[in-house]
Amino acid sequence: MTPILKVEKLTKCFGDFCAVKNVSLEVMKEEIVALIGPNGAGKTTFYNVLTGRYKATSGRVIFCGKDITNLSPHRIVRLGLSRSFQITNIFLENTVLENLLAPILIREGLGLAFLKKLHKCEKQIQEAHRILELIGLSDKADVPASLLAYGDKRAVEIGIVLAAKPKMVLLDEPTAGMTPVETDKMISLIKKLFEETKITFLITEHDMKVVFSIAKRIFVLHQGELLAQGTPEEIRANPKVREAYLGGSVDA
Amino acid sequence: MRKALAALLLVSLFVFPFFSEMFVLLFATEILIFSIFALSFNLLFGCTGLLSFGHAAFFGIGGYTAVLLAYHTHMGFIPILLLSAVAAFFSACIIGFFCVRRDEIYFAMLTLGFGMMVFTVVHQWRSLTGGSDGLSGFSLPELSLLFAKVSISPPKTFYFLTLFFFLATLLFLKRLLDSPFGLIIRSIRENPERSAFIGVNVSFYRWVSFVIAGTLAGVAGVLFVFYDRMASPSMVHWTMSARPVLMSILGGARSFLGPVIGAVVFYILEYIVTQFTENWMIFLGCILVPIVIFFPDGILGSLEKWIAKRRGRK
Ligand SMILES: Nc1ncnc2c1ncn2[C@@H]1O[C@H](COP(=O)(O)OP(=O)(O)O)[C@@H](O)[C@H]1O
Ligand SMILES: [Mg+2]
Repeated sequence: MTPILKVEKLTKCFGDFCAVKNVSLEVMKEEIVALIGPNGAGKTTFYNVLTGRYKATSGRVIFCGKDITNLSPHRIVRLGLSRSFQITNIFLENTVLENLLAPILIREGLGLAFLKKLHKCEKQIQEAHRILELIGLSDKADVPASLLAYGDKRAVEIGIVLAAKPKMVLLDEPTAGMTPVETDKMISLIKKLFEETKITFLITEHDMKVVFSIAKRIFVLHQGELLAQGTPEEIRANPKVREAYLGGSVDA
Repeated sequence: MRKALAALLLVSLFVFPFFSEMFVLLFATEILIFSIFALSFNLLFGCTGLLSFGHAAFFGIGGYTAVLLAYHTHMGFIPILLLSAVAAFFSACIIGFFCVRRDEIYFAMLTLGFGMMVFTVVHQWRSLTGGSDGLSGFSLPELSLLFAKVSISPPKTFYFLTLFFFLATLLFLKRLLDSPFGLIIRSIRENPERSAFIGVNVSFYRWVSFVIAGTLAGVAGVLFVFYDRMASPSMVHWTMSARPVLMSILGGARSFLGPVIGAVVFYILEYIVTQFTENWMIFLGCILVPIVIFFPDGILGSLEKWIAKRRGRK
């Protein structure tokens, strides 16, 4: 198998403080893996560098065999690497459908179609409806996103990511701030998406329960460094990981 | 209801010149010109989320180009209009290229800076622009319609010419905002960062919006110089850039016709107030402050919300 994402010695420093230190890892095609670590471990920063939001201090990111280090965000998305945000980041005043339609139109190169009417873009609207169905929001298509419940906003966040038709998806704490019920819903959604789309998933989480129920392989980030990687069983048994998590929660 | 109201307004725009006094006709023409100017500004402000303080640069570049062509050539109205629009287009391409590198207050400052540069050039380059005197005393170009040549000098003719461009601008903008491009710039206004992460080249789309807005402002400038029979540096002064800002906020930047309502209210207020006092700006400020504080959606925006609310209750 070939890696779809290959990160080589990636480092990101803010002044003297390095939030990501010398991280190397590989993710294979059609894999669902997790990046875990306590709050402040550097997970979000790692994503920010991968997706072009921050410039890398050093190191390289290879995606689908192409060096994407420090490309601008929109170019990275166009190459097929799409991400979600830990803090919900959607188009609040647009309708749910429009939230999903915009990435589809851009992907199909219709952004400058001045003379085409939006409601005549039937193929694209259909596709947006398919994604709505996938994330379970078909009945909310014409609702402004700002009026949705928190859990539904998180689902739109995921929907926007999918609408870009990525080869690989980076989810940043998809269950952040959710109630247990919403969390279970999100977990089954992610599992369903993975099974139906066969997109490669990399998911960050600080909640161990979520991770062990989803990922086939896990990376552990601790104070910016890659502490360990392996199957859930291996990670559970790893003494270094246990220590980093102060014992307890790994068993959860 | 809405359609009936729109039809009524449209009919009265076509009919009233045959009954009105000269003064009202000229007044209405100027309002229509400034409506085009304010609408073009609002494509950037209300629709794309970029506040420009230098939009008069393109109004002026369009206007001065038109006057210079009328002075030095024998071109008709339409070629002059097209060439002036092209001049505004290219200057918007260049100025916009730099301005869209930043957003928010930095964008506003960049546009202000470029606006001042254009003003300085217009003001200092006496041999070309007439400096602070401006340019006047040119003969109005003729309008070629099919095989007839029409003088645009009679106020009624000029009014209908302006009305034509006003309606064309409305149709054009409506179409633009209903297109995929409209959704993309709305998304950028909503959330520029997320837009980048769905694959939108944000500064490119902002630039396109800037160029369209600048070109339209140039067209408004052409109409204005032929209406006013002169081009003067006040056209490119920063206070002229402030006008569409005020009009859009007054009428409602999020409403399609907000800038038009703003232009109408602006002119009517100015007319009434200047009969009593010279300091009409103070009065305008006194009206603007409560509007911004209590009705941030502007006159039309607040009205639309109020109607929607009442409908919802029924
Ligand atoms: N833009 C920034 N400037 C300075 N420090 C930052 C910045 N972004 C993140 N950090 C720091 O980097 C560390 C890792 O943060 P983050 O990547 O958000 O962790 P995680 O997502 O694993 O909780 C934290 O100590 C945080 O304060
Ligand atoms: Mg984080």
